[in-house]
Amino acid sequence: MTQATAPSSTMAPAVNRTRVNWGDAQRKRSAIPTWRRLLGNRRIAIGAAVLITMYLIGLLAPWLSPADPNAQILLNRLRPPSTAHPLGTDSLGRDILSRAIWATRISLSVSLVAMLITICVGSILGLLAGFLGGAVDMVIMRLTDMLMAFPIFILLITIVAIYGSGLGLLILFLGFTAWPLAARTIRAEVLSLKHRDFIDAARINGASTARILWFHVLPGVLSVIVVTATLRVATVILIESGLSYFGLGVTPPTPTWGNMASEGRLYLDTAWWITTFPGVLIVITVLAYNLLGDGLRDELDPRRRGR
Amino acid sequence: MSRHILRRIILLIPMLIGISIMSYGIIRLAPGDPTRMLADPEMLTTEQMEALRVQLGLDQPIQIQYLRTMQSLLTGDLLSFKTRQPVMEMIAERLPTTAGLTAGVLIVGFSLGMVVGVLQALRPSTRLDEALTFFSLFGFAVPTFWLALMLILIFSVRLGWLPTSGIRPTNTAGWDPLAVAPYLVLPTIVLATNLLAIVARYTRSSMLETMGQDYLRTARAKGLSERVVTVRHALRNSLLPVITLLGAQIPYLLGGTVAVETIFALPGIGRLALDSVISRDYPVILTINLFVAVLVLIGNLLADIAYVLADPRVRLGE
Repeated sequence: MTQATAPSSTMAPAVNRTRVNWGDAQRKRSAIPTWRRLLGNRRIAIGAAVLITMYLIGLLAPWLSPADPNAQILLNRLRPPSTAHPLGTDSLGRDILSRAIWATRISLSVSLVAMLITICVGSILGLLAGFLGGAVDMVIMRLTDMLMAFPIFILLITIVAIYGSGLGLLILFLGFTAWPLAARTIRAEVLSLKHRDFIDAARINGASTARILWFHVLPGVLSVIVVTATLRVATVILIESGLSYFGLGVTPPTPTWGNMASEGRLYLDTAWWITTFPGVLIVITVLAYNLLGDGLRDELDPRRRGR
Repeated sequence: MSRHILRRIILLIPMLIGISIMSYGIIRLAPGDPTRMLADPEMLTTEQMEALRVQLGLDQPIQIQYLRTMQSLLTGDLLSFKTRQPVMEMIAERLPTTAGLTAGVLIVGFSLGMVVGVLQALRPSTRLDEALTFFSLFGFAVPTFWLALMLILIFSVRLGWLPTSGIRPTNTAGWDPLAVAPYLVLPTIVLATNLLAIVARYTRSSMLETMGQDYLRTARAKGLSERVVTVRHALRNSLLPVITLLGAQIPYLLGGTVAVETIFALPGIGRLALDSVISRDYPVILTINLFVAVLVLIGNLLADIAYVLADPRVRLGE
C-alpha cells in the first residue's frame, strides 16, 4: 500500500538519489529491483536461463557442433534421428543438429541487432513525441499511424523482394519497420510521466529539456523500454522466420531456424524432423523472450508489483 | 461527438495520401525495370521494350506516374502489369476467400480470447491462470508457417482428417458452406492461435487493471455482491479496451494470410500479394497495400468511436 501512495518516487529513481535523502529502509523498497528479487520471479528465471543457454550455444557453436553444418553427404540424405545424427539429416545429407547450432548464432544475432535498431528509433521518437507534444507529436504519431496501417509483413516481403536480402539489409529492414509500436508504447508512458511533480520540479530548477528527458524522463520509462525491447526481439525472430519461408530471409546455405524449417516443407510426409526441430527452437526462444519480458514488466512496473 | 468523428474521417484523407505515396515510393524507387519482368529482354527489340514502357506509362516522370496511377485506381480501371486485368477485379475475385477466413479468425480469436482472459483474471496466479498464460505465450511464440506445417503434418499427412490445400473440392464451384468448411479449419486454427493469445493477454491485463481501481473497492464497500462487482463493474469496463485491438490486429492478420494462403493454396488476397510481389506487379501491390490500409484505418476509427461512445471519460477529455 505504501508503494501506491508514493508513485512519483518509485517512478524516478534518479531524483531519489540526487535530490532527496531517503532513509535506508525507504531505499530498500525503491524501484530499482535487486537481482535476487528479479530472479525470484519464476518467469524471469526460466526465460533468462533458457536465453543464456541459447546464447551460449550460439557463442560456442564452433566447439559444440558435432559436424560441419554445410557438409553435404548425399548418401545420408533424409535420415531420421539416430545416434550418429541426433536430429536427423536434411535433403542434402547435412547434419541438422550442427546446422541448428550454427543457426542459433545467426538467428539470435540478427534478431538482437534488428531489435536494437527498432528500440533506439522507437525510444527517441517516442520520447520526443510524448514530451514535446504539439507539432512534433502530431508528425511522429501520424507517421507511426501510417506505418502501422501497413501490413508489416506484406511491406517487408515487398521491400526484400525488390531490394534484395543480404544479411545487413535484412537487419536494417527488420529494424526500421518494427519501431512504430515501440514508439507508441514509450510515448504513452512519457505522457503519464510528463505532468508529474518531479518533472515540474526539475523544470523549475532550470533544467533544460534535454536534461529533463535524459535524467528524469528516460529513467522513468526505462523499464518500459526494456520490456518492449525484450518483446520486440521475439517478434523480429518470428518475422525473420516467416520471411525465410518465402525464401526472402537469410539466404541458404547460411542456416537460420527459419530457412531450415522451411526447407523441410517439401519433405513433410517423408522427413518430418527437418521442419519440426528448427521450429521447436524458434518456439522455445520466442517463448523465453516473452517470459522474460512479462516477468520484467511485472517486476519493473511499480503499479503491477505486489500482485 | 459527431464533430470529433467528422474530424477523424477528414484526417483519414491525408493519411491515405501519405500511405499511397509511401507504397508507391517504395516500389517505384527500386532499381530494376518492371518491363524486364514482364517480357524477356532477349526476345524484344529496344523499340519494342520502349513501346511497352510507353504502354505501361513508365516513360513519364515519377510524379505524373503516381498521379495517373492514383487516378486510374480511383476510377477502377487500374490494370495489372502482368495479366492486364483490372486490379479491382482481381481483388474482388479473391476477396470472398480472405474475407471468409479472416471473419472466422476474428470471431474465434476474439470470443475465445476474451473468455480465456477473463477466466485468468478472475483467478490470478492460480494453476489455471499459469496454464492458460503458458498457452497464450505459446500462441505468441509459434511462427505461423511452422504451425501450419505442423498441423498439416498431424491432421492431414498422419491422420488424413482434413484436406491440405485448396478452398473447395476440385471440380466443384460456388460457396457451399459444407463443402468449403473443412478446407478452412486448419487455416483458421493457425491464424486464430496468435490472435487468441493476444486477445487473452490483453483481456487479462485489462481486467486485472480494472480490478485494482478505486471504484471497484467502492462497489465492494457499498456491499455489492462479488458477482455484480465482477460482471457489471469489472467486466464491462475491462472488455472495452479490448475493442481497440481490432484495428491494430488487421494488418497482422492479413500479413498472416500471406503465409497461410500460400501454404494451404487458398486463392485469397494474401496469396495475390505474394504473387504480385514476386512478379513485381506494382499496380496490384499498391492496390493491396492501400486496400489493407483503408481497412485498418476504418477498423481503428470504428474502435475509437465505440470506445468514445462507451467511455464518458474519453468524451469529456476531448
